[in-house]
Amino acid sequence: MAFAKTYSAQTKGLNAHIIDVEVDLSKGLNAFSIVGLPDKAVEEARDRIGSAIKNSGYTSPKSKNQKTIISLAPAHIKKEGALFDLPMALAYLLSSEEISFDTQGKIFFGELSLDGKLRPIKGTLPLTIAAKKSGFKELYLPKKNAQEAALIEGLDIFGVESLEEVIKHLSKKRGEETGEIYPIDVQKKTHVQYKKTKHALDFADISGQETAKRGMEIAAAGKHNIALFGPPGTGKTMLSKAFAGLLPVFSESEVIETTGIHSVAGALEN
Amino acid sequence: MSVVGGGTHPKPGEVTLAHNGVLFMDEFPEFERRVVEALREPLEEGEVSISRSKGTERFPANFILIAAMNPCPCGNYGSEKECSCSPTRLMQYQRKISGPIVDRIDMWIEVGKVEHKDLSDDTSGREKTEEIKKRVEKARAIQEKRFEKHNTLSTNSEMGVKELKKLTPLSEEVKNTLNSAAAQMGLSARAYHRIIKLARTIADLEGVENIEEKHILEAIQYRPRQKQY
Repeated sequence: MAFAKTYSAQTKGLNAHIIDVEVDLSKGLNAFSIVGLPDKAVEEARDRIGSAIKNSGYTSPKSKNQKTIISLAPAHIKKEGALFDLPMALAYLLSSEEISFDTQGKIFFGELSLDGKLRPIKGTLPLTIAAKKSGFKELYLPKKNAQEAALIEGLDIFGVESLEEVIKHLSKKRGEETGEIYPIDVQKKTHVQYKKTKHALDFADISGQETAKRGMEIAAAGKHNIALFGPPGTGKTMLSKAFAGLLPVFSESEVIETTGIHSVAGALEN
Repeated sequence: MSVVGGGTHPKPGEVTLAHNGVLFMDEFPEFERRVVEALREPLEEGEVSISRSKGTERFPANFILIAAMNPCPCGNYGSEKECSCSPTRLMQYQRKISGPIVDRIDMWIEVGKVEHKDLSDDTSGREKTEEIKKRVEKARAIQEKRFEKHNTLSTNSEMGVKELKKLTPLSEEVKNTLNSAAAQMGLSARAYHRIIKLARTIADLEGVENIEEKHILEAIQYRPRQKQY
């Protein structure tokens, strides 16, 4: 086939752009290049993909005498991070015709370990939202990120553990060999569950400071900013700790918005 | 940079991580002036804009700021203990919070030493967080209703001048009280509007529909007194 394309996405701030991952193979001396303003992590994908493919039982681009070009389009958007490993590996194998599946409606994310296993990525939530907005029906990503992605409804989320698992599930060729389709469970929708946390400090634990407590009540009610001033040891920190207990629970959309922010900042720990 | 966000490729900073939550800054005057100045935009707009050569990004940054500070570096200014700070150091410290930031903080509350007689383990007389929270939630519900048609707003503090005029009408009597206080205290327009917003929240906590004089008066209590900053 020589040319193949899969889909992925690049986070930009708290949103994401859909990225086309195109692979083209041609005759020539062994060469491998990735274009589309890749950062170092994306450039290094070449080595990760090569080993991952080999260790998954397929032919690595390094072992062939051919020119491989991978284009991450659109070209003017900076590509960052290792999440393109999976779509690149798949597009490569599609173009070399070792696997075959319909790429329409499917989107892929995941960093690859040298042994072919998938590693978690950052920014799952905005990537998932963008995928849904653009009409993708199936989203494949590292299993550890699946729960976060499943906060979003409207597309099937598949959490996968390895390159081979994805291929076994999707590739017609593999299916023909073994005669069976390898099922991956669709990730169940993640429901926002409110955990009742016992706050470290209750306002009743603080002696006096009625004015300050009143102030905090007002601040919490109307989201007003507040400055507490006074000598050390009067309880400013205690009051601030107790303050968190006054805030109402997040609405579902606030949960998604705030989780998305923490996802992009890499501050989520599942 | 880690507070406001940035880097070669704009990434969210602390103020965005605090979006929809609380940003607590202890020892506020000890923060670099640049950092304090950088809070202007998120405090006023609820967003922070990071421009770099690689692109501009707007990140949400709608948080409640709690800034804690001592009256001076040694902590004793204004108390019975003697302040050991030199006059220059004192002035420097107190000037750390520039005028525009002072205006953007809605409430200034003095947290003083608690009398020994009030310090006790008997919590029976004191309100639990749960009880205060109920009033907060009621006030939030009132605000939700108020902003039904303005869905970018969820709380009183977020109102702009236009919404303020439309949604918080003041009676002549109340306006007069406010105007004379404003003249007396030399309040900026920004401070004037903040008082109205505060008064609106105070009235909401009481479940009262119109802002009354007492709400304005309480709101005025929370302005900084000139001698501090």
